[in-house]
Parts: sequence; C-alpha cells; structure tokens
Amino acid sequence: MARRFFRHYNYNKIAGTVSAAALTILLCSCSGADKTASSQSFVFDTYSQITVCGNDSEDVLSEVGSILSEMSGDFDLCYDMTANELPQNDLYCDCLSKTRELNRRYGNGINVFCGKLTKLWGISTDSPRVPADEELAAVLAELPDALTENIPYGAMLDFGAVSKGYACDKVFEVLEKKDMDYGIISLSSTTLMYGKKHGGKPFRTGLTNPLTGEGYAGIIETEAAFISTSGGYERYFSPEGTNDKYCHIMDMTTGRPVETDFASVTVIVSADVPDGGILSDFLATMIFSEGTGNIDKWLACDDFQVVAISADGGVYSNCEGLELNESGGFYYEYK
Amino acid sequence: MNINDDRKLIRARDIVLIAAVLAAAAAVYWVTADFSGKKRYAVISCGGETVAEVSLDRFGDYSFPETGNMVFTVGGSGISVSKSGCPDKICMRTGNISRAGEAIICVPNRTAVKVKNAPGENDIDVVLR
Amino acid sequence: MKMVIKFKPDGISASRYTALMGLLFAVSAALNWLESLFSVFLPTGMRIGLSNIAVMLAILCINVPSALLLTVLKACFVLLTRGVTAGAMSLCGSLAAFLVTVLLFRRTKASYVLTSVLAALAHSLGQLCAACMLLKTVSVFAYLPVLTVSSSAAGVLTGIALKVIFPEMVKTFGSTKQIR
Repeated sequence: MARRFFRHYNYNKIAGTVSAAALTILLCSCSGADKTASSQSFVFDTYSQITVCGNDSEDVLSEVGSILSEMSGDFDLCYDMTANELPQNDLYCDCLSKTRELNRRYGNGINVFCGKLTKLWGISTDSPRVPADEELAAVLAELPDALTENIPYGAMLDFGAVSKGYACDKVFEVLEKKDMDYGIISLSSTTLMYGKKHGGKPFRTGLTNPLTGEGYAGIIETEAAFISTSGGYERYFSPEGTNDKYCHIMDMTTGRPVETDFASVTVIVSADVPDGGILSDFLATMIFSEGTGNIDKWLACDDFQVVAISADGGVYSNCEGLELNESGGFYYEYK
Repeated sequence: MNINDDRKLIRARDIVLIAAVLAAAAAVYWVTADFSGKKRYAVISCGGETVAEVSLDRFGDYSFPETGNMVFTVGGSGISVSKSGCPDKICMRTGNISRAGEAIICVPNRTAVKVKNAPGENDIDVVLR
Repeated sequence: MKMVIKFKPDGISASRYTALMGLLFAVSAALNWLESLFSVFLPTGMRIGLSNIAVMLAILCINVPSALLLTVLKACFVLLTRGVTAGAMSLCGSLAAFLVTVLLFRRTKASYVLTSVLAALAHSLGQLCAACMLLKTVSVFAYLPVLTVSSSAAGVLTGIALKVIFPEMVKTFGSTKQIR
C-alpha cells in the first residue's frame, strides 16, 4: 500500500524541498544565538549593570552605555563648577524643570540648588567632614529656594537625588524607540525594568537588607517598572572614634543629614507613567527624609507603590508583589 | 551491489522513526532544562576535578591556576569565558550560560563550566542597593 | 593464521582506485571545512557529520576496508589541521558513524535517509563520548537535544545527496561487484 502511495509523487521535487528544509534548519540553528547583551560599568559614582534583549541588542547596549556615561559626566561637572560656569546643556534645564514640577506636585522635597551644602560635607568624596556651625549657617543663608525659576548666580547644583531616575527615563526612551524585548538597567539604587521577559515572567528585584547591608529584606515582583531606593546604609560618613553616622541625604532646613526613623525607602513606579524614573528617584529620597510620621499619606497614593523599612525592621508597604523576608526579622507594620 | 538495487530514498516508517527520535530529544530537553530564573552558581572543573564554584551573583573576572590562561567573566546574563589560550576559541564563542544544566566546554584546556541550581535560592533579576 | 586485509577490491584498476580514494578524501576535507562554519553554536569543535558522506560512498562503491581506511585518514587530517582534541573527537565520531553505516548498508535494506540520519546521530554520540572522556564530566551530554536536531537535519541532507550521487558514481567508476 505504501508503494502505491509513493508512486504518484515526483521524487526529485520532494528531495529538493526536503533538502532545502534541512539546510534551512541547519542555518537557522546557527544564527540562533541569544539576543541578550550585557555590560557593566561605573557611572553615577556607582556600579551599573545593563542587560538588553532584542534585535541589535549589542548596538542598543553600546548606545545606552554611552548615554549613561555622558550623562554621568555632565552631572559630575556640577560638583566642581557653579551653575553659570557649567557648559551649555539642555540636560540641566530639563532636569531642573522636571524636579521643580515634582516639587510643586508633591511638596518641597528636593532642592537641587544645595550643591554648596553637599560640597561642604563632602560625604561620598575622599575627604568627608563635619562642618562647623558657622560654616553651615553661612551656606544655609544663601541657599536658594527649591522652586526658584531662574538659577541664581553663583549657586551650585546637586542633582544627586534625581540624576539616576532622570537617566533611566532617557534610557527608557531609547529602549522604546529601538523596540527592545526587555531590558534591565541597574544603577544600583535606581533600576529600570523595561518590557517583558521571555516566557512572560515578572521581574524580580531583590531589596538589600538595610539593617545589615547583606542579604535581602524582601523581593519585589513587578511588571515593567522604575524602582528606586533611598537609604543611609550605603553612603555615609562615620568620623573616627565616634559612633555617629552621617548619611548623604541632607535636610535643607538644618543643613545636616536628615533625621529619620526609616532605614530605607523603595518606590515602585509603573513603566507606563511618563518620567517614571525621576519620579521614583525623587519620591524615594523625599519619603525617606520625612520618616514614619508622614507615611500614611504616601501609602494612600495610587500612582506608585512604596516599601518603607524602619530601623527596627517594620515594613510599611502598599506593594502587591512584595515577598518579605520574615525570617530576616522584617514584619509588616502596615500592609 | 545487489543489496543496493532497490534501496529506497526514504520510506514511511523512516519518517516515523526520525520523528520519534526528535520527540525523544525534545522531551529530554524539556525535562532537563530549567527555565525558572537566572542566578545560580557555576562549577568550573578541569580534567574532572572541581576547581571552583562561582556564584552567578558575584560579578567579576575569575581565573585559576588549574585552568591556565582562561578567564571566566560573571555578569548580568551569566558566566562566560572571556579569555582562553585554546586555538579555536569555541569556548569563548559559546557566550553566556545562566540556566541550570547549561555548560561551556573547552576541550583543549580540559575545562568545563556547568551551571547548577542553588537549593532554595530565589531567582533574582537585579539587586537594589 | 596470516590475515591480509585487501584494501583495493578486485573489480577496479589500481589507478582508478587511487583516483577514487583521493577524490573521496578531498571531498571529506572540503566538507570538514564547511562543517566548521556550522559549528559556531556547538562547543568543543564538534561537527554535525556532513563529511560522513565520503565514507558512506566508499562503503557503497568500493568496499568496507577502504572505507575504514578513509575514516582513519579523515581523522588524521583533522588531527593535523585542528589539533589532537579535535582529531580524537573526529575519530570517535567517524568510527561510530562508520559502524552504523556498514551495519545498515551491508546487512539491511534500510533507506538512504534513515541510514544517514542514524549515522549522523552515531557520529554525534561518538563525539560526545570522546568529549566526556577527555573532560571527565557528564555535563557534555547537555548538548544532546541540540545535536540530535542538527544531526538529523545533516543526515537528511546526506541521505538525499547519497541517493543522487551513488548511481552517478557507479556510472563513472564502474561497480566493484564486492558489495553483496
């Protein structure tokens, strides 16, 4: 019966088609390399890791890498030059106006004109110190208000609270334009998770334990999002012979590091939100500075999710995808 | 030559046989490959002896006296061989491996890098500090 | 008992035999190069077994001892051009493919495609075993699924080519009347 079946067919044509198919399989399996590209670098004064997946991922990777290092360099200039000495760059004005807008919307949280104050303390530089009260008073006196429209002459800018978030927004634009499958851009304290992982799994972000600095306080499962963390456990200055810890986040009214009962605050903004990066960075710093007293107001907001960890391990969170490391001593104060 | 006179190009039962072989291969792949998550640890062995176990969380470059002039790089998408003294550099062209069961093999250097599942370890994409 | 292995079968002249063997050896060398292009996604210099077609033609058109000689010569070629490790893998793989092909072509009436696919699979398995012994690790077998697919594709190609080339070879070189 099989012989009857085959006699009607043109052997040559079949052989030709099958060999073409076999050759195609062979060639396709050769090009079936993973479309993921990764790189590490040191930008924004921290270890950064970029992973992108999609067509031309290598090209996109280098483009993102150069954008980040360029921006990092531009923002670094602010530590050495006053605002009017800075080279002409839309970057500063754009970032300034976005921060101003956020200040108007959420209350005066971040003052980017505090460059002189940051320089005075020098935390995160090679020579940190505790300034004398007179020096502090002098700098505070001439500190411009956060909402100042025109940059005052002689002021110094410090974008540290928003620069990483702003950079992630720019990277987001690139990833969207190049239509990448997914990307994970980590700037240590701010991360962009873009797109969708192959297989549809959500992104999992580990939250460093702020009480010990090692291990995880929890793991956050999200779809594409911007996630920023603010805390005093990484960058701080502890003078010789004392137990004092001066963290790098400054309180504009006192001129000293913020006094807060939070160990770390993490803000998750969905990638759908425009300028979500700078928003998450801004809010993380602001909510951290305010302490547990004001946390209810923030937890009630719908635009973003918060995971705030207090110094005794209590966790204030309205985040759905949080897996808390309860065996590490963390417990829900508010869920 | 007599036995080759009526030897066919292909028969119906051959297609069934080959399909069965391919199905078995696919089954083996699905059973052994582990798709859930990325961070595990890699076991680097040389000539059968385990030289090192490297956690895929700890980024950086590693080299060991036993593996000669090979440099292993752990990064965001797993572990790869970034430098090797072998002539063909096929181990370097294998690229990154990160899933349990995947392996990079360098025969001239007698070295194998194999990714293993860490028991109970959560698969994390990124760590926020 | 004195055992003489006659490489050259009686049916063809010495010069024709030399030419035929040289041709088949050159074909296997050329295919080796072609295979190396495909081996980008395979580790350790594994080959997908396209060059087995030369050995299979030897089994069909000449005789089994000549095919064995060709297998060894192939492995020596790889040894000289790509090194000991690749040479060892080629030897193991080609020998395995050779055994399978002899079994199927001389003892059964299996179709060309089936024989080629099984020979290619044997070739891959032989190479994996060689790699396993060299590295003393079983993790090499992680490549089995991928290799199965690529070997099957290569086997199909080889089988079709064989069916087309074999009659032409007989027409050009004459039959040796050795294959039964």
